[in-house]
Order: sequence, then C-alpha cells, then structure tokens
Amino acid sequence: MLESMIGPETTKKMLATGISLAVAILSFVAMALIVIASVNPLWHPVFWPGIVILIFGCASLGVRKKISRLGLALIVLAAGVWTFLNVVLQINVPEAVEFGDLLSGDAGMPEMIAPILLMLPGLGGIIAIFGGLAGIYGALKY
Amino acid sequence: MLEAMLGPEKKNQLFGNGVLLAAVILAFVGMCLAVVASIHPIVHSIFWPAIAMLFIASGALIAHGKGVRLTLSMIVFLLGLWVVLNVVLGINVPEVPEMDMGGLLTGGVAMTEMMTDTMLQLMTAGGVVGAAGGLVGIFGALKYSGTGTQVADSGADTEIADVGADTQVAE
Repeated sequence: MLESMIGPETTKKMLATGISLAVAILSFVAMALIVIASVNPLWHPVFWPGIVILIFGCASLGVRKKISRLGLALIVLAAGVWTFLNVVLQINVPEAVEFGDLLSGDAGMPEMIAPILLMLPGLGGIIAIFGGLAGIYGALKY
Repeated sequence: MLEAMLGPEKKNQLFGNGVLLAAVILAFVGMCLAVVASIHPIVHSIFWPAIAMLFIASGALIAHGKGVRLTLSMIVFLLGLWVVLNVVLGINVPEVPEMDMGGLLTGGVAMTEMMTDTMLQLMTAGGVVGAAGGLVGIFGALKYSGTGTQVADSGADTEIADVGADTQVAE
C-alpha cells in the first residue's frame, strides 16, 4: 500500500527509520534499567555497557549506510549479551553483604540491596539483545 | 471504509500486522514481568519460556503465511500457559528457603532467595500477559492473514478488467 503511494525507495527509507527508532527506544529502556541498578555503588562491568547501548542505539537513527547500521546494531547486541551473561553466569557481580554488616555499619544499604537489583541489569541486557536483533533485521531488510 | 479505500487484500494485511504487533507488545510485557522475577536466582523453567515467548511472537510478526503465523502464536500461547501453570500448580518453582532473621544475619539466607515467594506473582502475571498475547496472535492470524485463494481471485479479476479495457480501445 505504502509502496504504491510513495514509491519503493521512500518506503524502504521510512521503514528503516521506523526500525531504527524502535532500536533507539529499546536501547533507552535497557540503559535506564541497567544504570539505575549499577550507578550506586558504581558497578563498572555493567554500567559502561549500559551507556554504550544507549549511545550506539541512538546513533543508528542518524546513520544512513546499511553497513553502519548493521555495525551499530551488532555493538548493541554484543553489549546486551555481555550484560546478560554477567548477571546469569555471576561473573563480575557485586558481592552479597550480610545483614550483620549493615547493623554493624560495615556496609551501607546500597551495598546490601545490590544483589537484589541484579534482576534489573539482567532484564536490561535482554531488552538490549532484542533491540540489537531488531536493528540487524532492519539493516539487512531495509 | 478502509476496505473501500484499500481493497480487502491490503486491509487484511494492515489489520493482520496491527494485531500481531499488539501480540508482540503483550509478549514483551509478559517477558519483562517473568524475566525480572526469575533471572536472579535464575529459574530455568520460567526464564527460558519467557524469552522464547518474545522471540517467537516477533517471528510471527515478521512471517507472512497464515499457517506460520497461527503456529507461532499458538506456541506463544502455550509458553504463557506453561509459565502460569508452573506457578499456580507449584511445579518447577524455586524452593522457599527457611526464612528467619538469623539466617540473614549470618548470611545463610541471601536476600534474593528470601524474596523468591514474593516474586512468584510477577512470574504468573508475565505468563498471563504472554498467553493473552498468544491468543491475540491466534485471532489475528485466523481473521486477517491472507490465503493463496484470495490472491488468485484478485489476479483473475485483473485479467478480466484488462480484457475489458482492450475492447474499449478497439471500439
């Protein structure tokens, strides 16, 4: 329908921009989930990939070339996989703090709840993976 | 109105994509709810079906054939049902650790394990939303996905119209 109204070239461009927008939105949601759980105390192995996911996801909106969009989507996918695996395989995760440490003042509340918040970076990683795959599909098809 | 403007084929295509997009959104919400509750500590019997739900629903959106869309939507529905039944019937759910403050104080029971019971409700909600997504997908596939017969019919119509146009030119 769209193709007959505005031509195949414009249709492709429009759909590509639409998918890039979806990737940017998914990257934003992923970044929000990851950063909120890893900013205090700062948890470097997950915090920085979260930022990278947002920047590269949004950059895919601005680029025109197919190969560039594919590359950016792949980076988003890789950062998402990294975050997800960190949480699931328990690599580079913050150590659990005992309740006694909180009572004795050896640990603060943010350190105490850090292991509980691990679920948020995990979900953020999965959303980034989904965004990356959507970006790859968009780059290859449109 | 839309049918008169676009024709039945295009209208069906448009509505089919719209309904399956709704199914994907529902599967996404279901996945978020189920995954957030089952990723840490990981509950494999809930976590992986939730992930599969989202990806299969997306596959149904991309697919074109009625049969493929219907099958994929049914799989999404079954996965949602699996998650719900697991929690409701208490099968494959994590064991609740003995909860007392002493365990927490000594580090015997970690905070995340202690919250397992509370999280089960999120998993159930995720399963219900995912199953709803599957049902929406099934409805969309049954009602709005085109069939080969319709395409052949429209082709025949076009040929007849062409013949008519030729006749007019000849006259």
